[in-house]
Amino acid sequence: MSGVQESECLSMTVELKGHLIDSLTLSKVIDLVQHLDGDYQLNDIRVGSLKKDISAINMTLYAPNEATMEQILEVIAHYGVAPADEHPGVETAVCERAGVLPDGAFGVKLPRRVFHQGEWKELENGGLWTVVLENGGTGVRRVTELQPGDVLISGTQGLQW
Amino acid sequence: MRSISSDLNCQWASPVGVTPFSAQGKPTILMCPPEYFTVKYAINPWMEEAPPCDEALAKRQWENLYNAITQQAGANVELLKPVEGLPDLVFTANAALIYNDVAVIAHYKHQERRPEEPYCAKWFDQHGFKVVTMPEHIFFEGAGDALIWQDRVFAGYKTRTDIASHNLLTAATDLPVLSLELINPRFYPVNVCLCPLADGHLIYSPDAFDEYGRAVIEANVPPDKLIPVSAEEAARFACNAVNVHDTVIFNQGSARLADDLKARGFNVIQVDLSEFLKSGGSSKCLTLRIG
Repeated sequence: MSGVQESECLSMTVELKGHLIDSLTLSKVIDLVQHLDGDYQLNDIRVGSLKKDISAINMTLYAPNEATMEQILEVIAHYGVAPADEHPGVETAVCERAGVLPDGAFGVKLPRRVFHQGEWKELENGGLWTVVLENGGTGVRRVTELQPGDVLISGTQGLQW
Repeated sequence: MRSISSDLNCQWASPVGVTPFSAQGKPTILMCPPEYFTVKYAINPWMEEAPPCDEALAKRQWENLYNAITQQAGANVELLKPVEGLPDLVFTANAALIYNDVAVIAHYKHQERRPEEPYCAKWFDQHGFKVVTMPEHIFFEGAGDALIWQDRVFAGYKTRTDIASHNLLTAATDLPVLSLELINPRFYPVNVCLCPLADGHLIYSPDAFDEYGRAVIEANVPPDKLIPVSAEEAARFACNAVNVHDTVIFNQGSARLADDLKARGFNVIQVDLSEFLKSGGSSKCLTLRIG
């Protein structure tokens, strides 16, 4: 990835479905995004398990300005790329063992230590975090604090960065 | 010269699976007599450049193709009744993608051909097919842009067909669809630049595809089965061929392809289809395998 997404820039979450791997469509879309001075981050990749199964990609596009983003979206629309559903239904997973993230559940890992002034120091909020549904609301929680029965977001559908 | 049919009987299964016409026991092709065929509008580069069409000559050329298919290649032909005001109905390949008992009906990008859609859907429904239609916003040009090769579909997109239709093809047929972008406006739809043949062979025009498309084709088709055609012969619609058993029928004027196919054991028939070329179609476009 280039430095585009690290600086001030526009972002948009998009989706792509199809025989993306066998048809090289994903490769083509990524090449086009970069050729047009954009960048991308793959958020979720679901590869079809059988040859007939289609694959699905959720990714965030980055562009340095509005004109570039518009051009990127116009070009890659021909390959089936569309803005992600703005109101998607989330998929969930249930925690079965305390402190263990269920298969497929969303998790994001923050660094646990930082080397500073000649020594490793523990970060207060480091480690693996996840998104939970609780008491009719939502929140983030450290995976080590999960309890059996906690309901978590599965995959990345319904999440935005 | 070896005989393909004697060597590889196992490969003669119908490329369209088991359809309502399979009980007839021989390959069945849908054609539409050119009673109302002419070039009355321009929806592709060939039509834009076309000199006036000789309708009487077109009818004789169509009959020659019909005779080659029925008498020389040994296929059965079903006829779609022509409709006044629908000159392109003669290009039955565009009507639908057929696989087993499913007919995925075309949804044309050009308004001029839209009236063909309900007419063809009704025909397939009346002949025992389960009719599948595209959503209003997704365009798809039938077997013009979707060709079954072995256990998968090579499907073109961008010129006449939207890539979004390919997911619906998979849903309707259970076949994997390999999406190929068409980069040359003259080589649309994909049946003008790619043609599956018996025994796993595949004719294609490399110039019609980008590097991704060529890589997909080359990754799927063994090198000894892949038959590249020059841009010059592709422009003579060499790839727009009809294959029945070991016979391959295409427009005249593609000597190199004819020699290549004969060397591989195919029986080659070349038919003059000059009047249909003015409309951007040739032998394959004039036929649709339905059994």
